[in-house]
Amino acid sequence: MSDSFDVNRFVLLTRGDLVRNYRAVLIVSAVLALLTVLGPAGLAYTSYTGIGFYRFFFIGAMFAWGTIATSLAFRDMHGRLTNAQFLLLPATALEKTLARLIVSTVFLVVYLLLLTSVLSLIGEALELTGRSSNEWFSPFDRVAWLVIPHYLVVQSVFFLGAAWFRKMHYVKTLLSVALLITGLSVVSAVLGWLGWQTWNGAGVNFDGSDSFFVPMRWLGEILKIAYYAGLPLFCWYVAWLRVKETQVSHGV
Amino acid sequence: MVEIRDLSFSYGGSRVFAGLGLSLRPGTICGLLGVNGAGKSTLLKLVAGLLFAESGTVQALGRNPATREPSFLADVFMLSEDLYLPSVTAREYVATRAPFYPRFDRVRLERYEREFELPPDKLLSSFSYGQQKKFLLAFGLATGARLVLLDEPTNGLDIPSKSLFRRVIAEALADDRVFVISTHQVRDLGALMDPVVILHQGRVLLDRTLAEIGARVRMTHSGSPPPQGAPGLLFSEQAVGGYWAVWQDSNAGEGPLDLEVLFNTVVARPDLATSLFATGGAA
Repeated sequence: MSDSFDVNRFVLLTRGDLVRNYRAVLIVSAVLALLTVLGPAGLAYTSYTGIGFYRFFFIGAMFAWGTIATSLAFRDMHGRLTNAQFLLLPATALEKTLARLIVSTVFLVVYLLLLTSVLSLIGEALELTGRSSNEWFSPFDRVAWLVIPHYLVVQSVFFLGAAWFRKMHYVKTLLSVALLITGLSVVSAVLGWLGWQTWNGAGVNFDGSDSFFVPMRWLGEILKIAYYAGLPLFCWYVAWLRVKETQVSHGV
Repeated sequence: MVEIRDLSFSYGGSRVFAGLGLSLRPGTICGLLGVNGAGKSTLLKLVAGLLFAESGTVQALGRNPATREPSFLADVFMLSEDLYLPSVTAREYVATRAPFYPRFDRVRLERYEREFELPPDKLLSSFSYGQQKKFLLAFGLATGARLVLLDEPTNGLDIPSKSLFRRVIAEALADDRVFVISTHQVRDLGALMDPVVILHQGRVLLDRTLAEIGARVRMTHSGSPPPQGAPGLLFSEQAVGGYWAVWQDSNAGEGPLDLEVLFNTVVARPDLATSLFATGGAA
């Protein structure tokens, strides 16, 4: 039996997670299906034309369900009654982490794309929106695919929160992010103020056209890479380390 | 099979073990006894890799359990006192977990399920505590794990299940397997356990086979208390219908051995237990 990463075990873990969660998935799917009926019915009394409904539906469902489901990804690892079974399952910490990651990213996104498409087909066929917008949601919807990378970034933060915090993962992650953003905003404001104090009146044109700001554009590119790649990879990596070092005494 | 040397462990500021040492041989069912809070469950968790030692070494099956390598975990099964089973059927549970154990024996599992009279298509989470315990025990034995750690395995079992449990465990023992049973129910499991390990105040007070114990001490049960100060008397206590007395006797042979009385003797006189069994005699 291999002690390094094993694809078979990884597939088995992923399959196990799907089997374990399929009842919850069916319930959430039913609720979402109900929303596609009730949502347009409520909107019939507004000036909303129904265009883009399923796109908004997909994006909303992805962020709401995705972040909540991700927050619960390691619930069994933290549970006083459940953590022993999680930790003693013969697989590496990396396999266990990746299985949870793949379910809350790839599987969830693909499932929601397909579910939204099917619901839009049924909804439009039955004219549930009441306006017959004839708008079918394509699983290859361009806007939806532009939003998915943002979901992955947000997911990674909640994934780390799920591994790191022992309980109230969702709330604690939100609070931590809020604190972090507040802190960064304060630092940015202070730096901006210092920059203004230092360079204002020193011949620097603050409309952004000045050569002084060329390095800032590089900084923007770096921040973009950090946002789309650095942050998710960092969060997933730390989550894996957390899984490795977890003991049953951490259970709550 | 299990080697523990100079183990120290604590929960926060509360020390559980300080310099504990223990060695377990294959082909045995080791009874782990101790008062509440002695660290029996903690020791099992350290051996399984569920907790990490502060200092000292724990080696199980030649590995460091804390690394939790899959090949090690596939060779270890632990039945905790606090049980949890997910809301899936037995079939689903086995389908998702059994493939992780290369030596998993489905025929054996089905036999245990029949013997324990477990309903096949019910959700595991809806099983009673005793049924959950029996299912996990059946699954654990079917994994073929060489190191089986059982924490209070007979708690919650009905009377027929307790005798079935004893038979199943005795039958499952093999030369390359070791079972460690942590329990307070020495009367349920006394016939199974050999050697006996007694943990007390962070250390091992006794780690002997029944033959070794029987060769050093003799137990008697009589209607009247033994005379205090009688030569060779180590311990006595009142029991239902009379008094138990424990005597030092190097020619004790194969007399009756009550593990509960032995435990009380060792815990009441820790110094005596250490010297009696370490030096071969003088109390």
